Amino acid sequence: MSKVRLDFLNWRPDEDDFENPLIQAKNVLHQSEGWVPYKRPTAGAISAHSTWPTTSSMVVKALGTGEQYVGAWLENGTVAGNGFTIDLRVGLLAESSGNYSLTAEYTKITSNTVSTKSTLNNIAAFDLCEGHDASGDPVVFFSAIVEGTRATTSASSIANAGWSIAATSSIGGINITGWATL
Amino acid sequence: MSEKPSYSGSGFTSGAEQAWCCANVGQFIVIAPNSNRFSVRWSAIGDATDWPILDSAAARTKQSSNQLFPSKFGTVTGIAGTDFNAYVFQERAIWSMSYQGGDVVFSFDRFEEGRGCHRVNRFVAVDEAVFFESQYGYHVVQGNQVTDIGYGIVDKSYTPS
Repeated sequence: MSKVRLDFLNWRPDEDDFENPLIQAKNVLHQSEGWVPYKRPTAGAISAHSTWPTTSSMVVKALGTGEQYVGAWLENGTVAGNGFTIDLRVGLLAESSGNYSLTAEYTKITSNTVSTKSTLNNIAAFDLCEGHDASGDPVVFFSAIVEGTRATTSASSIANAGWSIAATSSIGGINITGWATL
Repeated sequence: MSEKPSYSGSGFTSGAEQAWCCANVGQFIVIAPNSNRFSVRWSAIGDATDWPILDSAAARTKQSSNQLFPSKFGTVTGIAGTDFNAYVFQERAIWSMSYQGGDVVFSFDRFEEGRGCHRVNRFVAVDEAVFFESQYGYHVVQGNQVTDIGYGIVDKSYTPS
């Protein structure tokens, strides 16, 4: 998700300098879809916002009206004896001038101990779509997965019994899937 | 102005199966479940919050079911849905998913082998066209036809990641 991709949608062959290969890199595939990844916002507007003092990784996707977004983000916890604890959260955000503020938190998994390997504390997949429930009310359906291997698999660490974790898979260390209605 | 509803975030319910991606296809929510990375599963018709047990009487009544794909084409990496149909991407194949109703619910037809969406959600839908990344470069699929759009300088400067 954090890898570089080519800006092919804006590529103009008639204006291109073929002596120099394309170097412009934008995450156009996900930007076009409204999915904007933020990785380790240690500087800039997001990290400066009081809502995200310990956020290490976040992805957002436009949804609803105006400046509404649904986001999944990781919050750093503490260094435990057997690894590093993180919280995976999903919620509704409001955007203004590049700043995101938390409108409502849908769900979270807290205090998950993961390995301290440097490649693990990233959101590996985040997706959402809109649907309806049986009453016809609009529903936002979402899923989020953190890559990594859990150091512990104790179910007691799950904050909400309604969902569970992907236990010992080498990928997909923590996973939230659910929905929110109006 | 957008006609989409405004979400307040209240009324969260849980219990859906863990998934790598999801899409709205007609009156269903279709997911790529973590429990089987070579399959898709869809909700009860008309209710994104209802996920009856597979193969149960309730599932049959509500048209909720799943579909397994050959593992040789890799895991399911994307679902691009429309009002009645969808494209299901594996790493090295693309399937057309069409609503049939009845006991069949959805039919699946593989029309591409080789090119697929090589990583989760590396695609974007624009109207009836779906642009995606394969291990070879960039492509667009429309009307069950795959076209290479990065042939030449784009694909030459492309490095799968």
